[in-house]
Amino acid sequence: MKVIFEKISKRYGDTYAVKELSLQIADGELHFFLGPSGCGKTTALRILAGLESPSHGRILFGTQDVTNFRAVDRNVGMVFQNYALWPHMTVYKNVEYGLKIKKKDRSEIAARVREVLALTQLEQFAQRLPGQLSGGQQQRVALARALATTPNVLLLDEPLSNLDAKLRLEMRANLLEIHQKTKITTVYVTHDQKEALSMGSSITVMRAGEVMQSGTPRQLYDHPRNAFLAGFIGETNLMRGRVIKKGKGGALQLFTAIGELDSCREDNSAFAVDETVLLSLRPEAIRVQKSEAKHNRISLTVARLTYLGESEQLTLTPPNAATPTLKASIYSVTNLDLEEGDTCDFHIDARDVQVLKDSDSLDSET
Amino acid sequence: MQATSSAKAFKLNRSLPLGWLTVAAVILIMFFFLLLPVGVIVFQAFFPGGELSLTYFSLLLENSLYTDSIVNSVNIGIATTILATTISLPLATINARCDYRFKGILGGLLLVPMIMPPFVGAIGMLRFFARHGTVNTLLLDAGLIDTPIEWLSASNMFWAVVILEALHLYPIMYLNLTAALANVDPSMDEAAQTAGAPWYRRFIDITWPLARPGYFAGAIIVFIWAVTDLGSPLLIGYHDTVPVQIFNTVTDAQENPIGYALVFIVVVVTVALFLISKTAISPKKYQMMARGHVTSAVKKVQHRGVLALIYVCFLTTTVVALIPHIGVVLTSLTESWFMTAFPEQYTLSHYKMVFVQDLPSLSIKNSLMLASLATLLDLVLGVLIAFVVTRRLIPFANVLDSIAMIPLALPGIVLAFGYIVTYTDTVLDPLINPIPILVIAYGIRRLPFMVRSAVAGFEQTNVSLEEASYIFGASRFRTILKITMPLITANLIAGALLCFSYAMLDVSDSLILAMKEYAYPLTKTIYVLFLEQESGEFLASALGVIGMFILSVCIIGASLVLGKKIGELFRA
Repeated sequence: MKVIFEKISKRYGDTYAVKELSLQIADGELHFFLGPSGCGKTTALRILAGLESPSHGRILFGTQDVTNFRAVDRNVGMVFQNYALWPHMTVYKNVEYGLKIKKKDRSEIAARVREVLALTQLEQFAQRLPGQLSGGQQQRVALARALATTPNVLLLDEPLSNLDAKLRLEMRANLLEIHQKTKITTVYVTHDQKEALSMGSSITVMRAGEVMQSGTPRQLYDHPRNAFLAGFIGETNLMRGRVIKKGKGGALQLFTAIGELDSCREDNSAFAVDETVLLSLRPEAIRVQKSEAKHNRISLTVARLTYLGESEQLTLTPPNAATPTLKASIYSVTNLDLEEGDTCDFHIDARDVQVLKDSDSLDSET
Repeated sequence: MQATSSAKAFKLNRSLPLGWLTVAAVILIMFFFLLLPVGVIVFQAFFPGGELSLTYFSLLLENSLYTDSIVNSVNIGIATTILATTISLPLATINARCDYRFKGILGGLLLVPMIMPPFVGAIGMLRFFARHGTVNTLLLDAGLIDTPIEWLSASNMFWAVVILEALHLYPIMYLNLTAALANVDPSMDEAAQTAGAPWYRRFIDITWPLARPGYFAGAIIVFIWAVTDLGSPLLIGYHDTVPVQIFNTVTDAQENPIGYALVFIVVVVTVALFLISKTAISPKKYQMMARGHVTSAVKKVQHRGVLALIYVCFLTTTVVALIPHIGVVLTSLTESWFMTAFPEQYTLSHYKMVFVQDLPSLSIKNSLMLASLATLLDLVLGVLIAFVVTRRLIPFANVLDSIAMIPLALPGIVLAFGYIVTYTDTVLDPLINPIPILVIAYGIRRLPFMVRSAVAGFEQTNVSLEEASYIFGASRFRTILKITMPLITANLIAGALLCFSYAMLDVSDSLILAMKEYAYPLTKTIYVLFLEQESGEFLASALGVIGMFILSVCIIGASLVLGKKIGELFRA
């Protein structure tokens, strides 16, 4: 089922929890609402569920306007952050409940409950009470219960936030597999950008009630619309720069604190000469210089080196110490032979130099 | 070296015998003033003259007066519980789920009826519903009836008692229900919404099963208190009830053995209900997950119509529940009131008489003294028990907690009866000097309030604050006094105020144990005045109003200090 937010706003007094949210989620998509706490993502989800009513705007399921439908009438499935399993009912009863409410046939109910319990690998726990299950199992019960009624839309509110790191990875794979099998349009709320990047077919990043950017994980990572997005999704080094020359095909020459840098990206056409801009350099874009290329070559000192196993994290300082430090991440397979205190040439590909509109967020966010 | 010595000091402190001393003292007190009296009753009921015999029970079952009394009392309990539930469930649901203007005030007003024992209210009810009382007069004047209705005919007395009890006890039900409903995680209900369940299904399938333990905790208290209340049936004249029959046998306990059997039956019912509540409640398996952090079940009500409806519900309940009180106030101000709807002339002379006459003024002093001493006893016992229980100073600390909570469910008539049969011809004989045994009875019966309040306080206070004091070598006693007590003052004040209020309100202990006129407390004096003199009713009412005033001050104080947590004090 296709889901459409049409200028949805939710106001509490003078503050907007959600402001003018417009969004289309295609049928069968796994869509993420991503943002820091208090950004309005959960409110958006609850509006979609029918648990809250929007102050303005419409919600459409397919072509049907469901804005005034209560949760009871929307046929959505929801996994709550704390799972909200009914503690006095067994796993079976929890899963069966929605089907019984819909007055399905008894044999049909039994078959469907068995089906979703199998899908979530819970068959052997059917007669347990939720309190007798581990966190991961409870999470699966919540999922099974939400799926049982074959909902139009599946809503997940930070479903993995109560699990430990290892279980979380396992459940991500699990959820993806179930989504692929069921093909139910799913809206997933999280503050964990890795979860969103690795699982989502599309992501909406929200902040202070407003949509910052919507797109595929790749679009968001490679083409962040502003400094907040660049910093929020993945890690990045932000610094101010000034455009000194503009070439063809999105080529820019920039003056920065660490020297002159070239950028060559399609998004760059929006900038003019002399404009102050923000540069975003991903840690993995900073590489140890191998070629003899003259462009984008910077001499930096290794102030700190942290060995992380698969990669090494470098904190780099330019020769003139008044300027900011840079974070770099280099795969350990590259034979580095670097030590703290070493000065060496680094290189950044012009295609990796992201140029963004200047904003105050350089100071407030980093 | 430094580390070992401080560890040693710490260990030394821990091994201080305070835990065991407290336990020994508390167990002795509990044994002599709780378990022993009940034990004596049970023993006497089964071993009259030292030999096992069921004579008393067969005597009891052969006499239809007693069997009827048992049936009547149980019916009073059931009807009161149902009525109190009916009154409080809608109100509790509203207050657990909605937020609106004046919510605090309206919720507080609901508790006002608690400030007077129901039997004092009976005086007011009698005024309104007598043959030539207010209601009949108004109906006659309006031409709606031709002859006065016999509101208080023998067959209606049952309902008169039930209504009085329910109007007095519904606040306890309301407090428990509100707490129970508010404790149900709102996402439980939301999960059922997304499953497509309509509101009544959600209530039946989800909310109610989760709130039920809390409801039962309150319902059992209401049931037991209604069954064992002595004052109301006595004053209304509904004598075929267990408490009144026990009361009648007390004076000749040695000659009339039926009392033992009747009290034994009350004990059995109480214990059974208490055990049922403990097993039905045991909410451990339900306490599992953290609550959702975003949602709040409390919805702000702004729609004027709904708001008006809420106000009407709350105010109507309060006003109806205050009818007995209003009756008492009017009676206390009456110069003459005969054959008219309301008094024709008002006077303050009854209040003057209260302070001029010996007995009423003495009884106020007595009640204040007895209640204060009992509160002091509770304060000491309660803090010690709570400390031992929350800090797990001894194994089986929660057994101690459970024992200390027994008096909440143990009816006053049982305890009073037990004291008489156990302590006759000792220093504590109420026929010699009723004051010591009255203080003990008042104290023991209100101990649960104090324990609950203090436990709540200790639980909020992190142990590490105490440990920080031990590290410096402070003794446990000093630590409690200097560190913990100041932090939980609010809880202690609230608990003390409740102990004091309920000691002032006490009916059964007072009526049974205060055998000498010089020791009469307020409630017994009200009863005696009501029975004795021609104008005693007016004097009794004036005394009742003064009592109400003292109690309102205490209860308002307690609820200000404790806020919402006040409901937790009324759980079995």
